[in-house]
Amino acid sequence: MRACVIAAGATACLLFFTVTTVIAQGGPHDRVEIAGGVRWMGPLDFGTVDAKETTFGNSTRSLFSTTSQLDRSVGATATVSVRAIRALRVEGSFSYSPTGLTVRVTNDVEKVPDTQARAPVTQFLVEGGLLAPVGARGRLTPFVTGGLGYLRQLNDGRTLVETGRSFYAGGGLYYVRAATHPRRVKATGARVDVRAAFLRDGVAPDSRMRGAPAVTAAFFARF
Amino acid sequence: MMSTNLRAWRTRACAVLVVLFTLAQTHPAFAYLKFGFEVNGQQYTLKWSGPVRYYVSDVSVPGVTQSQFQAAADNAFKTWTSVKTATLSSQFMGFTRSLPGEDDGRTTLGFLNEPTLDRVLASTSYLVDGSTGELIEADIFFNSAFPWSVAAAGEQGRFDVETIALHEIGHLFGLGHSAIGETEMGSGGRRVLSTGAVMFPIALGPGDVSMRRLRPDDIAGISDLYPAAGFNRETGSVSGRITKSGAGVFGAHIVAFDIRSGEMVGNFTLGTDGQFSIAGLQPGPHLLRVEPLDDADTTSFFDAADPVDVNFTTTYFERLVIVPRGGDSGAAEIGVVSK
Repeated sequence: MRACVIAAGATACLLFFTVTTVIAQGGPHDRVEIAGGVRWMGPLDFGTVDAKETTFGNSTRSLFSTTSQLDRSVGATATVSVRAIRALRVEGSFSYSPTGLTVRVTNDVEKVPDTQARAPVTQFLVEGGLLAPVGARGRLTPFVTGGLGYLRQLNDGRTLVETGRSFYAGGGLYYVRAATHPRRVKATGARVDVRAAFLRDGVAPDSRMRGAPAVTAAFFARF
Repeated sequence: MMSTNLRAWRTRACAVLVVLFTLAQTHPAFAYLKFGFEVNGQQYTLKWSGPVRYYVSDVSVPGVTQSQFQAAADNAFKTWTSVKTATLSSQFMGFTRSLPGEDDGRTTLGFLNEPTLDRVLASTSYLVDGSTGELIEADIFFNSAFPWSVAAAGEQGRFDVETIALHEIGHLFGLGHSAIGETEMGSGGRRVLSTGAVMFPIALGPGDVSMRRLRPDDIAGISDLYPAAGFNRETGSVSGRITKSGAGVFGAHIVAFDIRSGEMVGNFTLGTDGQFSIAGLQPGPHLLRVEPLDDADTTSFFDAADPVDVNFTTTYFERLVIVPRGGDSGAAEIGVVSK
């Protein structure tokens, strides 16, 4: 929870400072932006859990150790954003990524070689946030962004649905091109953003917030 | 009333267990070895239909009076009956001059001096109505040939009454042995290194009181036998088959390890087809570990005539199994190889 507050706070500060220094982005009529692309997310470490048995005197002895993680993933993402005010966009996104829950097994007392077990996980994120440009350099426009969302993870065969929350904060870069059909499409281009993504609950063993880097690359069109 | 006397001490309990193997295969999921018996060709799972009303023998031994014994036994009963996911109850009826093992219709706990049973601390026996299959009584004897104690923190060189009572009362309620534990063979016989269940067949040793508390395996077992409302809806099971060179493995021990909580619940393959099922699991991902039954005598779990296969190496299933809420994970086929 503390990490969440820090992330949200940092995002809010960034937005506050950037809104005051923004340079106009695009024309007055390109309110809506639709983007589609791919998102890479790094692994989430879930920590180590030992299989413990009781020994004489109420001590414990480990039968084996497990270290689990949500694997890195590459998935698809779609974003719709609306320019709320001149220097601020409100955006919502949906992302889908197949990933996996992997457990590495070590230190088995029966001298079993280290091994691992895995279960496929399908992850969905529905997120909403704010995006603020921080100045334009020709066709390039840096921005900062932050938000939160709903996490839904389906285990293999959809035998179990786990839900949770997501938070993110980061920044990125727009590459903006003038549209070839300005009556319909005001601008097109590409955007890349790098985030610190924080997930809570879902397939995680507890409700701790866990962070991972995430990179999104997308093409967009503004209308 | 005609009755079939299944009264026997621990060594005969395994014979009772054997009958269950046929029974077990008709059940889609269960978490434990349960005792069962056959009456007039009909198979029954050994369980109580109402509260267990028990008596305590009016016998004391050095270090333990009958009142102290009763208090320790009562604590052990309460530990089982306090399991929230199970519905079972007990009631102390008073002291009696009867001894455990007498066919008097009274469930009796108490001391008997059995010096020839030099490896048996205690044992549970049952009396079943041969015409109806009704469980009439179950007695537990504690072998006074061993030194006993009821000291809160244990007493060096003496076995803790409450610890051993907790194990035997598990049998009294109908549970068989669990194999979650590790042992090693020494010059003096098999020695326990660690245990993960009260129902593990070998005690940690004199002076130890650490097994006065039930472990997840015990709780899954008793809850499966006496499920409270919602237990089957809120928990799930995993099932599958253990094979070696394509053929089923009999007597393989499978442990489902909850990678989130670290809880372990185990069961066995109960037929030559290698089928197994473990119920009472918390929903979520579980790691499956298959091991041969080599941490206790196989007769602690199966009949001596059963073809228990212990010639294979400990194996982990390469797939994490996701236990659904109120359902089964689907078949997991796990191949093992000979040592």
